[in-house]
Amino acid sequence: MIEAGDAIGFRGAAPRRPRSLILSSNVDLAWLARGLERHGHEVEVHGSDGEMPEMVPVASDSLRADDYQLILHCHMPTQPSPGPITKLDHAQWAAQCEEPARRTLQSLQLAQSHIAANGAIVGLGPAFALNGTAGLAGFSMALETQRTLVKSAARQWASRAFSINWVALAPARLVPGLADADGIGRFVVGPDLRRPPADEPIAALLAMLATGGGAALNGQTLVADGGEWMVP
Amino acid sequence: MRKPFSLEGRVALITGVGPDLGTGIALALAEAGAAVALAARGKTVPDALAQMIAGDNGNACALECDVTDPGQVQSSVAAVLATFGRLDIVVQVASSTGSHAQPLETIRLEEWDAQTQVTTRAAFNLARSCHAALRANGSGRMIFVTSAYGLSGDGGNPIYSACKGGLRGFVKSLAKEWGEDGITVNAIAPSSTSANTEAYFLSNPDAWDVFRKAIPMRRMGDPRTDIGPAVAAMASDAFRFVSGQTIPIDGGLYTSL
Repeated sequence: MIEAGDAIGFRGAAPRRPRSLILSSNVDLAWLARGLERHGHEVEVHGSDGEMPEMVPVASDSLRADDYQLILHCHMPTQPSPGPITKLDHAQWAAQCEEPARRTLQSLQLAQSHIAANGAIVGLGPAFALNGTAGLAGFSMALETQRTLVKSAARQWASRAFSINWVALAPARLVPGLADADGIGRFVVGPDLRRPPADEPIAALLAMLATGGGAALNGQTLVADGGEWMVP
Repeated sequence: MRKPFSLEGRVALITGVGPDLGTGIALALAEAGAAVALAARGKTVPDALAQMIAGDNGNACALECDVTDPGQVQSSVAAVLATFGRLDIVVQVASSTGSHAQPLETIRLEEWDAQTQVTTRAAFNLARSCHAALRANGSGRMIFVTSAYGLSGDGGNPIYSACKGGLRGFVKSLAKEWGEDGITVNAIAPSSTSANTEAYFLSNPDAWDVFRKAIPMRRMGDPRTDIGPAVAAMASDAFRFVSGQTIPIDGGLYTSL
């Protein structure tokens, strides 16, 4: 697991490789950091796999650069588990819904002051919320709050020289404990032709967004799950 | 034979009943035959509206309810059951009045929390408290008020649009969770006039001109004659097989769903 403040392959020396920053909570993105490294990125990670205090513990002056080509933010609930909404207490609701959304706000605020010209700020979330899943209403609300905030940020900062998008991944990528939850996998139509993407194409897509090739995309939702859902 | 759009014998709880959208929805539901429980933090509007509906041979009661307080929400549901004996329709109109345009980078967490409590936390409070009553009759209707800005995002007012977008995720998942109970869960995204929007556009005619041109029907919806009746239809048997959807009621403003 990656610990808060870990730097993976960050050397900070010229000639510059593209710099990526990952702001995350309650999710293991080591696979993605390694994938970005294979695409030549220097990757700095501030996150945890479940031990986050209330706020994102990333102070602006603790970052190692102020010109990241790619800033990823991904905030999941603490120990998400499916269950009826009527069984959730308020503390569980806060953990499932409110805390992840707050961290996205904080991450966007931090990201906009540390993104390089022509860079990309990308939010990551599991794709199930685009379609809804029984037993995960609070988590779904968090994800759609996050995704709409990304759209608003993209609109508000549209005149600035960076892009802001959302990439929805197969749930197993971000919340493996929910991978087998009823209805979370895919919209079942016809034979099972699912083609779950490996680490490499996901890292390649994200790296591409931080280049000129991704500049035309802003405020978009890209579903990078190999075709599990095919929404909207 | 029951008329498909009739709400005769049904009971509705509407939260956030102010003078505009809440009133329009309440009057339309009452006109379709529902008994209506009118809830708001202050009872001035609900009291006057309940009297008006009663004077028109309708059935209504007023309730004081702060939707951010789970105890008050639970008490309100209990009061509806005690007064009318059942609950079939719940419409969450309540939304933060503190919403305003601002740069995203200046949003304080306290402000974020205050506004999300009234929209997203309130939706949780309401869903938790209403489920048993809605399930009891096998034809429950839960309707949330979201916004076109919850679909598209809003460069002006990020908190508002984020809350409204979040509601859509909630609606989709809750619809799947409650489908077996015969409860439909939907959202509307209205473009609705209010005293505030009218005042704003009167003092900002250029903004109105831009917005008006974005609406194919060249006007915002009237809560009483445009929005309320559509909600009444969604609450009726005619919409018994529609669930998990966000229905724009906006004169064609948002067409990208």
